Amino acid sequence: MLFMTLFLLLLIVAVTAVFIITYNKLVVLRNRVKNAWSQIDVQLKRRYDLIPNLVEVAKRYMAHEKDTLEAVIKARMQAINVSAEDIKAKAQAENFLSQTLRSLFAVSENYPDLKADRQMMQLHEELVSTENRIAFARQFYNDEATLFNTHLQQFPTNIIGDMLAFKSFDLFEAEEKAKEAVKVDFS
Amino acid sequence: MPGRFNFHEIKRQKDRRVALLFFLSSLGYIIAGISVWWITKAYFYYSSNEHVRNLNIGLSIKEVLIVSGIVLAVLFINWMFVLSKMLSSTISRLNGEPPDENDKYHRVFLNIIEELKLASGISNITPYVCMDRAVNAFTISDLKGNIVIGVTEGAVGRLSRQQLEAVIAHEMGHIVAGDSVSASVFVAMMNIYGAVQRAIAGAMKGSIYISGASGYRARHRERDGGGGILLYLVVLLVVLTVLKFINMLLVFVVSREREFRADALAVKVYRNPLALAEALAVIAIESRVSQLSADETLSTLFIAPLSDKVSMFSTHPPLKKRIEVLLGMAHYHGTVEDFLKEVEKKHEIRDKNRVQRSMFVVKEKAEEYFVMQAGKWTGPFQLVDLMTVGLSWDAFVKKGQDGDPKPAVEHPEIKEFVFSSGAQRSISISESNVDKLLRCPKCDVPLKEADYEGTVVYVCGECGGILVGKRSLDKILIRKEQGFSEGIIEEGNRIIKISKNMNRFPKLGRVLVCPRCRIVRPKFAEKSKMFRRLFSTYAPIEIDVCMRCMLYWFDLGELELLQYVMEHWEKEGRLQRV
Repeated sequence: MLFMTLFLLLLIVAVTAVFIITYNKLVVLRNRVKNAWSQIDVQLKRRYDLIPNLVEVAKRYMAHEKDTLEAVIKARMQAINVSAEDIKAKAQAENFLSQTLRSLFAVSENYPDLKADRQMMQLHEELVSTENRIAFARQFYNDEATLFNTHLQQFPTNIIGDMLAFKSFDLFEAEEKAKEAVKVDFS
Repeated sequence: MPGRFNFHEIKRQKDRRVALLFFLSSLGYIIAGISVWWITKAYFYYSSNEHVRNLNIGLSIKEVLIVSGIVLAVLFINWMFVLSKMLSSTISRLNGEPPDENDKYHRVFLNIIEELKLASGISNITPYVCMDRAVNAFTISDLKGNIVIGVTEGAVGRLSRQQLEAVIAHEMGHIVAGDSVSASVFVAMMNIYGAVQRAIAGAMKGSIYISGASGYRARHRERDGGGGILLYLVVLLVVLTVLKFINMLLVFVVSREREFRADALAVKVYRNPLALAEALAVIAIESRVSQLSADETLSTLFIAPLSDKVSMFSTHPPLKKRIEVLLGMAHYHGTVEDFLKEVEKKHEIRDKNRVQRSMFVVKEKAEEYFVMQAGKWTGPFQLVDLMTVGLSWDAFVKKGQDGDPKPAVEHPEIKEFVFSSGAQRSISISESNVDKLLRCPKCDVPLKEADYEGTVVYVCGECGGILVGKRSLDKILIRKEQGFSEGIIEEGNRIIKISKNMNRFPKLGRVLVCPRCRIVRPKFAEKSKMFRRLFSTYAPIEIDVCMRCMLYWFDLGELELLQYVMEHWEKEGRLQRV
């Protein structure tokens, strides 16, 4: 009898230990994903802040390209309004914004005065950097999210994770085109 | 390839690699220590009077352990000591400074560093820019986790954004793979070898000297004269050299693989193998006018070797091989030679298309302000003068003779000017806004801040003269944005001709008052004016220098002239210093 109770006790202790260890590991990984996401958020905000200046400067030179400029402004508004909770929708909105910005830069090729404007050059550099940062932050987030998701799907973590209401994360998908090497040469 | 060159994978293997390095080098030193001990034992045995040959000159386990312990302790202390100073001493040796946020090119560098921090997940990286004309970059870490990425002004000023991205991503690759730690440890180890070798050489000299003295011989009754100790030292030296040789060989073999791996990582991050190939091509093509110390051991830390020596001991695989690999990744149709020619041509085209931006700012009619002081209108003052007048926010100010009198705080330009120059509580001079108050030493008009070649200079709207700080001047002389007018080219060629016969260095007295000294040290400024002299014998252009402020004054056109002349000498390969 004593043996049985001892064994049972040990079993309970063991199971609890496994639960605690698994829970903690999942928490650590989840926080890393959250941190990675906030990095993306920081860079997206940076982009939101830069765009109004960009449109202002571009307007001075590209008065006739109202459509392109308006597309950018609208896309920005849409992207800001998408909640950060819905990762898939956010990714879509941001990709769309990137597209409009690319069209804007493509059109600005026809305006050498705009390209030479000092403010524009600064803004262009900051935007190029922001695009890169978003891409890298996205990559990093996806890596961390995949790590978490994989861990969550493995046995026995999946059972425990289910019980403790851990959910896997959506990946921040890149648009198909962005996967090619983008080399916009402004030199 | 994708699996091997994944950031995560490499980071995981990094610790193993670094641990292996420490283990092997400790082993090497222990072997060295034991050899030294054994040879010493043998020497003292053989040189002792009693020829008791059957004494054991082998090594006991206890001896081995003690020697190993001592060696490890010494190593540990030395590593901690050297590495803690290595970062700061290397940076100051390379004339490095933190990047300037207001410098257009440095800003790009800073942005790229931020991007790579995100890509790699490593965030405690400190960037530095070193004053050197050559294109190069390096990274060092100490054992405490401080990491530095340095680039030269040449790299920042002469590479396109994509090329700079590739170069820095390459350095990042080294960091992620732990190469920078191993490289730093290697440099520290070489220091130890060097120090020990010097000590032995010193002892050798001493023993040669001493062994000549009969007193020594008599006292020690050497069998073979004073040569005994000399022999001992020579053997020591030989053993140490052999070990050092093996060590270096190992490291150099490994470092070649490292360079290829770092190249591959750079491509993985920015997906632009062509850009890295171009950057390496630029390094290969441009004349190596580097004043960086050609300390070969430091070379391991750089993206390209510091000297041209290609040997078994080269710290890098040949540039051409690396370019070849990268061109393969980019599916380039052509040979490495074709590619180099293409890059050279692109450079020539870019050189020809340089824009001439006039520095001569059109003189605007300056706004005049009048201030009500003690019941009277005083003035006219320029905006900048209001700083020195002792204005309070509620004093009445009118713009122009017929302006509307309003309290100073209600004039938006005054508010903006004061806030932008850093003085908030009162309108007065502080160190941070001295630069807004500089006046032309010739025309006495306030100098305007302007951007030239990506850095800040101060221009006079009336005479077109330019005031430049030393570091900014060094940068300007490296950068190549500004194009040259016919007039400058003609005058430049004339000056180059003159310089060929120039060997004197006339000092032309002191003429102008330094604009900065005038504000900060007014009493001193009159007495200690700027030196008027020629920039150098090979660029005999008249300039005025204030040695205290390290400020240079150029008259209209003289700065472009200097740039033109310096570029000429660089093309000729004659420049050894910035």
